[in-house]
Amino acid sequence: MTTSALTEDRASPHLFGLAARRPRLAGVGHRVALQLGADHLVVRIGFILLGLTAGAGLVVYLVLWIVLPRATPDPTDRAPALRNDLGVIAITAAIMAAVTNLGVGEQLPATLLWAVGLVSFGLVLSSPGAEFDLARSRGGALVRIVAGGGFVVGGLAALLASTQTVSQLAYSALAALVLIGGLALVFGPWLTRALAMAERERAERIRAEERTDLAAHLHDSVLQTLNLIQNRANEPHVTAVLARQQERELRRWLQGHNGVVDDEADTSLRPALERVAAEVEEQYLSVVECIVVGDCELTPSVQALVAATREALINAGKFAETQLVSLYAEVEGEAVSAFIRDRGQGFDPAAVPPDRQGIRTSIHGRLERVGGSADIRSRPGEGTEVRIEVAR
Amino acid sequence: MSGEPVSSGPGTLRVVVVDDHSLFRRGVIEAIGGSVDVVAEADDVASGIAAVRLHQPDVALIDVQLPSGSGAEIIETLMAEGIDPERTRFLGLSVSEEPADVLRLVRSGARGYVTKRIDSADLVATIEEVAAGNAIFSPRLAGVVLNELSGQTSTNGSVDDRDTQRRTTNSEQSVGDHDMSMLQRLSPREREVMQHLARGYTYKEIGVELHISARTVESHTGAVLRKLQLSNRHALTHWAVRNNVV
Repeated sequence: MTTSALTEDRASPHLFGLAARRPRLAGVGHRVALQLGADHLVVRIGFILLGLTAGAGLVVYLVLWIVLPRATPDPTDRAPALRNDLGVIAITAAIMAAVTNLGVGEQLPATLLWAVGLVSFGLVLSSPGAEFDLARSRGGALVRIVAGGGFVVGGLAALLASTQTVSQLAYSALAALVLIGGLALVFGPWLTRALAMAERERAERIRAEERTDLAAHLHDSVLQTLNLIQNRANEPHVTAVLARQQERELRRWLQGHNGVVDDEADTSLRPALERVAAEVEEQYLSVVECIVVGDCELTPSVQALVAATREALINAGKFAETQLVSLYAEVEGEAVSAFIRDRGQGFDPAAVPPDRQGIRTSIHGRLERVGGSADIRSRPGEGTEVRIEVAR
Repeated sequence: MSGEPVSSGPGTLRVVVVDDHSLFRRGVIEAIGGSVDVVAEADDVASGIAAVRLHQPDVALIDVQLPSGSGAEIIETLMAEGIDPERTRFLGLSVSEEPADVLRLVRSGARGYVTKRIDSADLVATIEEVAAGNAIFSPRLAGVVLNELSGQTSTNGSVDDRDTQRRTTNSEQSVGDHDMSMLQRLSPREREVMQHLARGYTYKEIGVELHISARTVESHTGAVLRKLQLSNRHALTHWAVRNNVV
């Protein structure tokens, strides 16, 4: 009852307002009152009247004790657990006495009666109440389980003992079953509760760890970049590139590629090209739109293609004087091709002075060694496209 | 341009903007408001559907990621309701260029998508293209299409079994779990057009390169868009019924 604290503290002008609005015995009356919205005193009188009628009130009390949801413990109440137990013991004893005295016992074997009494008492004693903090009082819990379990098993044994007609073999099998059943009854609730608690704790720990990870990551990446962007706010081109790099990195992280990607060895064409594109972006503050169709292993010839592609991207970054470079690569059958295109100022390939070795050695030479080819198409004012092809 | 609105000025396109970020929405409306007539805005799936249904704009700009679901749901719902696809065209607006997001949007019936990095002039130009019935292929979308529809080989040299039409595309890129039919496979010409788009060529440049008219390039991209949308179950059923396959 989450509202119990409120209900208890509110002064009531009611006739029976003098009745204490806090648990007295095992708290059943209190809970019934809260549940029904009735006055505590009325409920208590009701129980007493019922109790006078052949002890029915006591049985009802005990049943309700088990069935009703537990009230939120009152922090000012000092010994709820102890009072609870005493209440249960007293009531069980009262029921047993009532039943025996009223002569019901003459129709039922006394052993059966005692057995049922013992079992129910054991169950009540060992059941994990909500007011009981498992984590804080392990010792108390153990005592309750052992004592309750003892009562349950003892009661069941007594029950068995009263049924003598069964054959010896069935008897021992039954005994084993009863023992197991009794133990399950006692430990089941505790076990499920402990498991649920452990699960909750684990979930909370994982959440906390995730939050820490997230905070650390954001601090190292996004916040740093935002600082950089603030420092260079008057250079829109630079801020755009920074934002783009951060975006790519964050996206990668969100997709679950944790850790620093650069540390991993590239396993195939696609990641290798993506990495090269990112490097050039970073170094030359240009935007490389990298699109790869298909994928394949990094054989020596494919590695040469990647290296030549990098060179072509760098050339575009250095000389094209444009922000956007398109990189498209595809694996088709045995052929791998890459196209590096910019819409920058272009140049006349025939007019490149012979001492400029960039294109000749880094692109053509590299590819010829692995049996590939490169074709550079460019005209001043119309951008440049480098086409590279190798057999993988 | 079909479906000329009567209420607004002649030649002005009627546009609905659906995006959950009010600031971004404001920015878009400010950027395109001078050139087109923004008749309504919405910020989630339900209000988006309602706004497009009510206003029947020439172009609906739909954000891919909405808080209550995907922008594709808006298009899927309206398409299922039987909105006239010749009257209202959809253009996706996306932060993400993840193949899965892009594909779903286009498959639901969008004529293409633009990223939120696009500048005002380009956005207006793209809206006009879409209103004219053209497909909008970014290099990225062309790449996704090539990965999805080319039915070609991929990882580690495993050869595609063309007879059973099974594909082994890269796991990151392969999004649909459908079997691709022969109907959807790109023709050699369409493939060439897609490759050039992925390389950063404009329609016009592709025309020059392949010695065909820009019109023809557009008809190829339109055909590719239809093939892509055929993998949408609805569209496939429609197509099958229309062509007496079932």
